Amino acid sequence: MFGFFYTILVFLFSFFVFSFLLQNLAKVFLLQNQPRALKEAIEKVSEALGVAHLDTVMMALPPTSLENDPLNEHLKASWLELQQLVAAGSIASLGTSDLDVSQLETLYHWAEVKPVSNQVNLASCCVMPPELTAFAKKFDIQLLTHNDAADILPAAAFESAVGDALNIPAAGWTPVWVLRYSVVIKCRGVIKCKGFLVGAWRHL
Amino acid sequence: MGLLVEGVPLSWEQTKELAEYVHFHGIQQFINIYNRLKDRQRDVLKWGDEVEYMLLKFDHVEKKVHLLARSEFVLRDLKLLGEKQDPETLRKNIKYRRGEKVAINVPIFRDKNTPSPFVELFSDEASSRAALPDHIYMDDMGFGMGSSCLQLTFQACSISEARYLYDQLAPLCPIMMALSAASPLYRGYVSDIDCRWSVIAASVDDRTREERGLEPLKNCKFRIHKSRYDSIDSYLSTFGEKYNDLELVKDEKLYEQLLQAGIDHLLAQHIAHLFIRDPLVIYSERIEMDDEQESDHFENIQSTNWQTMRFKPPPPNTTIGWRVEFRPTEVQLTDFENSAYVVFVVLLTRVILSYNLNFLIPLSKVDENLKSAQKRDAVRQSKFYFRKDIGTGGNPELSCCCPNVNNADSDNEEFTLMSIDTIINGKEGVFAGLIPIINSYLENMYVDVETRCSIFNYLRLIRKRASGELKTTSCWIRNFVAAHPDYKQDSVVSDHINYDLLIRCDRISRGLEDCPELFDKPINKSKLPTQPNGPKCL
Repeated sequence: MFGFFYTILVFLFSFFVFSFLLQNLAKVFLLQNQPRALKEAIEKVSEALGVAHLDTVMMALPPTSLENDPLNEHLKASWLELQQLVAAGSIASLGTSDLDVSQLETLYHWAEVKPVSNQVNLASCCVMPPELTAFAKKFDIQLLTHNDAADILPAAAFESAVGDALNIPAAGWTPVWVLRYSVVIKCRGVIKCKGFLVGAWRHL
Repeated sequence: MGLLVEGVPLSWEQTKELAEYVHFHGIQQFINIYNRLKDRQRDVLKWGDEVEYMLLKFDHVEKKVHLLARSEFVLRDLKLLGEKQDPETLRKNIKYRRGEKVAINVPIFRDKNTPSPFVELFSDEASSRAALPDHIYMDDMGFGMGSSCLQLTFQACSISEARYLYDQLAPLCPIMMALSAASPLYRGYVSDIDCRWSVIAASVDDRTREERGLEPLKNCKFRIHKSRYDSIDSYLSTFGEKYNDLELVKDEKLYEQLLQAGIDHLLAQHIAHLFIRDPLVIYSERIEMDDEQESDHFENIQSTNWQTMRFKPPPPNTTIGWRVEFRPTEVQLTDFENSAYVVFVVLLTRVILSYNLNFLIPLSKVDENLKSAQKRDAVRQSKFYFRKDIGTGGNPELSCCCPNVNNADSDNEEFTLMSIDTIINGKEGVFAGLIPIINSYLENMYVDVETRCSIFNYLRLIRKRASGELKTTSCWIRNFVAAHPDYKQDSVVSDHINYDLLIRCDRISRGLEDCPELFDKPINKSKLPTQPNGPKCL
């Protein structure tokens, strides 16, 4: 399904769409605690979409990272990278994924560029913790839903994707990031295109 | 809703004489709108639903319920007076044009003690002749047009998108009708149909005997196959052209008038087909007008063609764009259910546009589906022609069937028979399912939690109605009658049964009572209650 290449699924439509009517959204899943992967992912998707900047980038840390990181060091390191990208004009706004209220609060008060949104799992959309909703409302943070698996790219999927797409063995390559992008036509709720990118590294 | 105009309606004789005038100027008005607004782009999505209600008067002493014919007082309170309707003129003129009163015959439900054959005695000869054995007979517009519908209109970003969506939603009309079935009872009897569509179709059928093919054509111009209230007869987009397999009766002169004005064949034939119908109500103050500025004559014919879909041009001198109206859905008892059906269709349109889907099948098959959709318990028992490959092949998340699946009846055809459950919820190896496709779309839209929770509740209702876990309103009504102590298994709905049923409907409608067989309590911070499976439908 994915590999270290970009798949752009362009849904052609019979009318001409002006670019300022489009919204570019991306969610980066860090599979390793490698903050510099963020810059690479953002650069790659911007290149693929042919855009100078992305409207919103949401970030998801590696699955167990938040639990093993009581001082939120990984979260902060990644966020610093993202803030640099905002300062450089590559990203307009930032969002987080699956942060609980205390993590979100800590990040919010510490960060220079405040998160505009936090994603929560679809399963909980009808049973939201009241403290989280209250905090989000107070600081104007949108709570958005997602249905992404915690393990977004299992090893087997990565291996078969690399094999299928690039015809090389996956051995030696480590997937570091996954990025999902959507380009949406504003005010009409129509997806213009969407897809995934994957970044994998290896030691030379 | 129809045209709302102030003024005095002309007599039928005067109206008849102006038919050609209205046709000519109506076409001209359409041409003017088309030429002025055909290149209009980028209109945002706006949509609205139209819920029709009945006014009832409860007699708690006699335990009877009557229709309350006092709408002008309610309209005054709602400050809607000044925009009078004239259903009375419409009703009379339909009868005059037709040459006799309308004849509605609905098959009666055969229960254990239902007389066989079921024959009612009527005092007038016309009724005795028109009433069919084993049918429930009705003879007036009110029986049909008094039914309540749920209609949805949304704005497209351009005329192309409107034509594309009009076509794509047409095959979904029978599906939504079966899924929303809510009309099993007529004139005090239990019928064998679950939907109102054919009843309304017959109730405003103004075709003469010649037009209906009962006599050779002499005074009338065309043999017309359907009532002016019925399903669409042609697709509007170029995708759809090859699936237009119904004979399309059209006024050739008006068709030429449209082509001369630069309108393409598909749109010209659509309008020329609508215009085979005569105006039924004309107001004396609204005859002569500026065809560049007004569209009354166009709207007169347009709004008295009541079809499963309606393609709506922008009214002149407004900011409103090209619109599409989705009209087959039966109205439900509660706001929650109505919202669910409406939101489901709106989300479907977003999905159709996002993934460039194609649901088109020959219109003759869509019409067959519409007949199936109205049958008793169609949602669980009928199968519907549905396109096998709707174009999700380019998207691995949505890929459906194994191309090697062997289908007995339609191996090489583009469509096959599917149940409502398969169409809505999907079936491994057969079809992805409309709800799974909608969920996939929503995952890419980053929806906020409150909206997502509402949508979750709505889709859960649709999912369970399609699978049969929840009853349609029609099924629930049938069960209510069957279980009532007064019911004698003879298909008769007594005043007392009617009263008890409507009391219950009213209470559910106002949220005073739950009805777990019809819908789950929407989740919001409370746990989902478990629903037992109810008894089968009648």
